[in-house]
Amino acid sequence: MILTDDDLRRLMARAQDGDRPSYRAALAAARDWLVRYYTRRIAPDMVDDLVQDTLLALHAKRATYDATRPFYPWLAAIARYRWIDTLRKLERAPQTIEDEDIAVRSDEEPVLARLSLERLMTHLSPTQASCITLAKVEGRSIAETAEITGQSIAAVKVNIHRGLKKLAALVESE
Amino acid sequence: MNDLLDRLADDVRPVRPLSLGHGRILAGTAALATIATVLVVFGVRPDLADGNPASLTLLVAGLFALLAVAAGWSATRLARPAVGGPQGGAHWVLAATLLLPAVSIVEFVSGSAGTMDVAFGLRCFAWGLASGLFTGVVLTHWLRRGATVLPEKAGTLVGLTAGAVGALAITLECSGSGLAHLGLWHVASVIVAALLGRVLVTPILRW
Repeated sequence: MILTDDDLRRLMARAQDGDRPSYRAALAAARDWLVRYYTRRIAPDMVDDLVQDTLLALHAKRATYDATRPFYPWLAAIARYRWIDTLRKLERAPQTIEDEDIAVRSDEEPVLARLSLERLMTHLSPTQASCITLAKVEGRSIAETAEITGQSIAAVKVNIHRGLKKLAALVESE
Repeated sequence: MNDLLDRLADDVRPVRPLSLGHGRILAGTAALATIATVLVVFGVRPDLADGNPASLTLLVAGLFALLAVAAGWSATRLARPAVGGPQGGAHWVLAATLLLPAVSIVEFVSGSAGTMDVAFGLRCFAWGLASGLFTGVVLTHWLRRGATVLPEKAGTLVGLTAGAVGALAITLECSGSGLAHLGLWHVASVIVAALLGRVLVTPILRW
């Protein structure tokens, strides 16, 4: 079932009052949205873990949702925060991301378009973007990334560190 | 995954939505308590006590007050995860405040600043930092109830708020009235507090 932002807003307001069915429905909608969101941003085998991590964060911080404001931007901000946090912690993702374009429902397009990885990456230098894509999204080792980009290992590490720091700063401002 | 959703749903309890107004009232109360305490302990500065405050003192105190409000307002707003939206005008007020040390430096370079009492300056710097501590702790504690997605920015703003409150309190009691003293030592405590906030508060706000 497709839930609009208004639907989610109402469900979350009831959830904050302790209504279980409303909260269960909101969580299911959030899970579906998060799966699509993360599929474009991290190695496929990590999507489930990240979705679960984000749902736990949503649960723990549900009091920070203001039911007078849109739901998806609130969820998106949490999702990006957890995503950046995961990228930081990630030493090596074992698989490469699939080059497929997941269909996005029309009511979510504005948010997703705004939050796309490609758009975020445009704020980084080309070397930072390529290092992060290779090492943190595609899961290649630092040595492989250095070989592909023609940089030293130290330079790759610096570019990843600086790029991730900049991405984190963009979480809310973008 | 459905098991997780069921468990979370079973765990749902009524929660009171986080109120930014509550955080602002808490921070404001802490700031007023700090200022009152400083004035009770150290006394009100002579020109203010006489009801004839120097224009520069009022200007500097006003800038610190504006900075405290703007930074505190922005900091509390960061308690809620959000994408985009206005961030408040704290950076503009900070820029205006930084004009004070900038003009002070120009005075020194041109030789019109006179001599500086470093010991007195250090005293105001240290007490300014210490005086902001309570507001910083209160604001940090409240922010931890939220879910900031920009912990570095929030930490810096907490430090800025605390530093501005401390500097305001000390400006209202300190007998120094020269631009060099107020513009350098008092503003220095604000800048250092902001840096301390970024370094020390940021890790506390991560979740």
